[in-house]
Amino acid sequence: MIQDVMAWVLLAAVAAYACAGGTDYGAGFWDLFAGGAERGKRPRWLIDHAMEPVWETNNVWLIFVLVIMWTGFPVLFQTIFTAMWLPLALAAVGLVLRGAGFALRKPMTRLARRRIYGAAFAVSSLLVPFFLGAVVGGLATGRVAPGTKASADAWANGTSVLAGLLTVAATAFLGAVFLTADARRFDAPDLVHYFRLRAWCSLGVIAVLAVVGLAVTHHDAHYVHEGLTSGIGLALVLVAAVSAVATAGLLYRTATGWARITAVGSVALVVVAWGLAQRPYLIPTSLTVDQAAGASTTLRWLLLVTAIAMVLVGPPLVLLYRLDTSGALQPLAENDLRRTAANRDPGTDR
Amino acid sequence: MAGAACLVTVECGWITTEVGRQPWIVYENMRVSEAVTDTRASSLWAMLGIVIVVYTLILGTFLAVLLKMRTRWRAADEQHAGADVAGTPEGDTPYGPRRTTAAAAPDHGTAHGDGGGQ
Repeated sequence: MIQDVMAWVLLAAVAAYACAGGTDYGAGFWDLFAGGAERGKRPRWLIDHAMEPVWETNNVWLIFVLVIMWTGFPVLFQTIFTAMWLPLALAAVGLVLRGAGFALRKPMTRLARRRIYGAAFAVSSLLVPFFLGAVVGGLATGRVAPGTKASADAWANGTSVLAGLLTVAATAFLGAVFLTADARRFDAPDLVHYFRLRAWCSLGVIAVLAVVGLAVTHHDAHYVHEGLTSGIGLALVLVAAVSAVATAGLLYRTATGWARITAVGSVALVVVAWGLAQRPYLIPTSLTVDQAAGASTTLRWLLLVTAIAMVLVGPPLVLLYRLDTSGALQPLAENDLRRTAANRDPGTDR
Repeated sequence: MAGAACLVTVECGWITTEVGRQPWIVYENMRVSEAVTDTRASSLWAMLGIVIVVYTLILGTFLAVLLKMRTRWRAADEQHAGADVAGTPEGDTPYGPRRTTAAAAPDHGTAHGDGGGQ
């Protein structure tokens, strides 16, 4: 019972990371393909401004996913991290390079150095979601089972590569939708068109990959394929598809606020559909939720900690996103710093 | 000095804990030899190498950026040139004084210089 609740929490955390982290990686994706220094100047300016207040927050869900995995489902954690340590280690290195690249790009004054750090940020934004997606794909095929030794086959097969590409395309889609909204917020009509077009293109790529995926997973990941093409899994996938098409329509009418909601909805629904398609397995046909669960005392505490975390983290998160979308978060400029220093020095009223 | 000493202290405590627990990885529950995976040693060395290289590069850049910023802020303070910067937030660097304005600022200097009575 309690392990089922925790499995749902895990799935919800994965969905949240796919949406929040995905948007973030998507912004990096478009940074990578923005062209040369001159041509890509304006899109990169927007990406920088849009990401700056929220990029660290967007990645808290990854920590949450990992903690739930190793505390609540240690067997799952052990299995995944033993069999697929290489893509996960590469993803971890990518995460570090991505953060460092983004943070260190700004204080660089020379174009050549900016290029290096910008490239570290943008290339990692592409590789991290690919590797994470490939791991999920490897999981879905059932190539990994408790006791499986590390092998490239677990994450370098057709389904894995496809899942990786699909993840990258989904992040690009989310990123483009959110950047369209940000372009509107920053009053840049040219960038609204720029990113809207890219959102449509990535949606097209997702559609193509989804069709290819249907064929590839039919034999390779049969259990998940069945789950996604029948019953509740199919229903959720269809709602997600409708939601994605609605996003395209809303972007056409530049109703960017609603487009953000439908875009997030479509990605989250696909993740939930995948989770439901795997029921009752955490790793299809070798490890069920019950088998993978830790001791029930641990799970009870984990649930309590989750509830406390929700209470503590939830409201600030809502506040942050609201402040961000209302444009209240601007970086400190040189003038602000000077003014603070000037006010403090004479030791006046405050 | 204190900064370096606190880092050394933390590292020493860490090493004491880890070495003192041998041969257990979870005290009296699991030995290190039971916990180790069968990943080849060469892969582990390669991974450790990557981690060391990446973190050394990041630390190096970080220190270089900090030192450079310090130099620039000092130069700006000495000239009382903290003055005004064209308000666009997308100037060349968000944290330190702008290069171009540091040179071109003296005429605005008085407007802001009145507060900073160093």
